[in-house]
Amino acid sequence: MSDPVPFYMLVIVGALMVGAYRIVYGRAARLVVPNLPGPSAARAQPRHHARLAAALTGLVGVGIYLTGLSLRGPIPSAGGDGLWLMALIVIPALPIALSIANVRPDFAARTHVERMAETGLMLLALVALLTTFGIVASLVFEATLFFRDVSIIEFLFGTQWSPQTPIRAGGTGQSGAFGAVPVFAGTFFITLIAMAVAGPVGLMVAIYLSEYASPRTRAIAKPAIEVLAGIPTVVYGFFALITVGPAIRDAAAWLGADVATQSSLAAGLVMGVMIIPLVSSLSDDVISAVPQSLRDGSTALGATKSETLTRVVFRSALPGIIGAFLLAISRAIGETMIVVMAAGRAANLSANPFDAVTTVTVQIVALLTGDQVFDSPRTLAAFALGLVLFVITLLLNIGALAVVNRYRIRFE
Amino acid sequence: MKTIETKLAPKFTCRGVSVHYGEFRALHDIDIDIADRSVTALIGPSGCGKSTLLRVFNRMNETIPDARTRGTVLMDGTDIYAPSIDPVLLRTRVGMVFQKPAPFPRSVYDNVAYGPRLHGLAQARGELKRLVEKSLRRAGLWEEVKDRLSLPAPSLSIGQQQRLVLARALAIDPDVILMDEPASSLDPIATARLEALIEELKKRYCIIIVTHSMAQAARISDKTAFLHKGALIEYDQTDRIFTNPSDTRTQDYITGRFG
Ligand SMILES: Nc1ncnc2c1ncn2[C@@H]1O[C@H](COP(=O)(O)OP(=O)(O)OP(=O)(O)O)[C@@H](O)[C@H]1O
Ligand SMILES: [Mg+2]
Repeated sequence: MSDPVPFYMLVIVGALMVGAYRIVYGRAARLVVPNLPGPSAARAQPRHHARLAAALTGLVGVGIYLTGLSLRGPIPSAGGDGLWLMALIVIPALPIALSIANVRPDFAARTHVERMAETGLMLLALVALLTTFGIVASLVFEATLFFRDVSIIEFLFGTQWSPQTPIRAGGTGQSGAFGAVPVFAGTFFITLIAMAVAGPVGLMVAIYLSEYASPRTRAIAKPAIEVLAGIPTVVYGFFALITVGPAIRDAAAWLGADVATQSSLAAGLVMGVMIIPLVSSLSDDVISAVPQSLRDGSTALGATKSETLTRVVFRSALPGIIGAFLLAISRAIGETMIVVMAAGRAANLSANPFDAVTTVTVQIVALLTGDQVFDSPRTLAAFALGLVLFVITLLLNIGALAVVNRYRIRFE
Repeated sequence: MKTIETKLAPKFTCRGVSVHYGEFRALHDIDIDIADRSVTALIGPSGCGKSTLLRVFNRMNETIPDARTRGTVLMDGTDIYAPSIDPVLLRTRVGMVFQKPAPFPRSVYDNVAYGPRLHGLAQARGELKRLVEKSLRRAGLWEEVKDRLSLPAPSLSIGQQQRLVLARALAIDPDVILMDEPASSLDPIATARLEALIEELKKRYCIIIVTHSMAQAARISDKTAFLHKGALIEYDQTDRIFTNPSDTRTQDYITGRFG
């Protein structure tokens, strides 16, 4: 039962495919094609016949492999993997024979290859789609379990988040308070601060790079800025914790206020710096892609460089710029390490940037680490958080996409 | 043979104008006088420097990073390449219609209103609307777009776009209009309309037009310049160029023997 999965069989399938390709190619190359007038299947080249044969063989081979794999459990290995192996080697002879028989001038191999490519691509797209769907389904499933214990109203609108401490003694056992509002508020507040830094700065950098910098400056500055994106987030967190946080605290103390080292401001500022290259690099690409003819048209009408920039270039690049911002926002929402280190874990509902806050991702990590029964409300709450975060980012994306599409359809 | 326009002071006077793109010399030592209130046609084989010469008059060559212009260009006796001249202001007086129409990604209306808005040309209520309509009418596009002024301009046909960018240039009411093959995508009717417009415009403006159509140059221009490999080969009254050119290269080009 615990036999290793015989991956070597896939190599056999591969070899069979190569064989099929070769044989059929040889046959098709020798095929005398009458020069028919008009569109004709005979226009298929040997490679079309051969590709079709290889694909068919591969399909049959993988099919047998998967069938064998699934039968291995229920039917205890009668003759080891021998039967399976035999099937794998013998049955593909059928598609190969079929392909050889199909090497005829009137067989539309080319059309079939085209259809095959289309189907193949569709299947791959389907895999991506199904994966997403599967993830969402598991989130929904676990979240449903959670909402059996904790009311959805309390979760969505409650302002008390303390999953560790049981508040109703003898109630639902170990559960604490699961009001997720402070957690989401923390996420969006930090994202807001980060975007307030990365949005304007990133855009200015992009405009400078694409419009004003000499090609040489650009060649040096652009990769240099992109390095910012390559720094591990834990390093940023470190930086926020030991440099930015204390600096904010000291600045506040100098002004006579007493604030903690951990604050949403520290986390947001550092996160903003981290995502500057995301905004600047993508925006620079789309701004540079605006055709020169548009700029010339504006210049020839007596517009200055900055007028051309704001009235024509920026507008044409808007869909791409929105895309860049969206990516940056997603990155900020998903960021965990910086927040853990710089903003703390306390679920405060506060719009004061000097307070410590927590975010959804930080809480998910906190809920899922440590000794926990897997189906306790505390653990399941992580899935509920994930689900709501997913829905929110989805809505955000749909909204932005709608804006982008409006401009695309109207102006391209 | 003295004609009316040679008696007037020329609008542009070019002396020893050369344009280089990097190491490549696109225009070589051009001397040319362009008369006001007339149509001057630039003809010559593709790549001979017609567009480059046209861009000399509104300093658009400066937007190309490695282009360098040398020599003197006077407009109404003033050196337009002097340091004191602001090219942005120059371009409000010297309008241009490019070879390849590039409408802004905005509505038809906003495209035409672009220049007037930029320069605050229409202050009173409704004035901008009238200006847009007038410009579109002159460019012969009004009837086709009057009900769809909010349509995105890039969705117009190429021929319509060509007239739209003409309307856009007319809307700021320049003194000079440079046209780079403005009829290349126009049907015969729109071309005839454009030529009628040029005929009317030349009463007040100086028009320089690049065209690949010998017939068009002969029909609409007063003087014709023939360029070849960056040099001005011949420049004379249009009827002379087309009936009795003095250079064999001109002769060969207009009769279609090369180019
Ligand atoms: N931006 C540029 N960079 C480098 N070389 C250029 C540039 N623009 C034009 N040239 C070169 O200068 C020469 C003249 O170009 P120009 O566009 O003035 O030709 P043209 O007479 O307008 O041709 P056409 O009739 O095809 O429009 C050509 O050889 C061209 O390759
Ligand atoms: Mg040209």
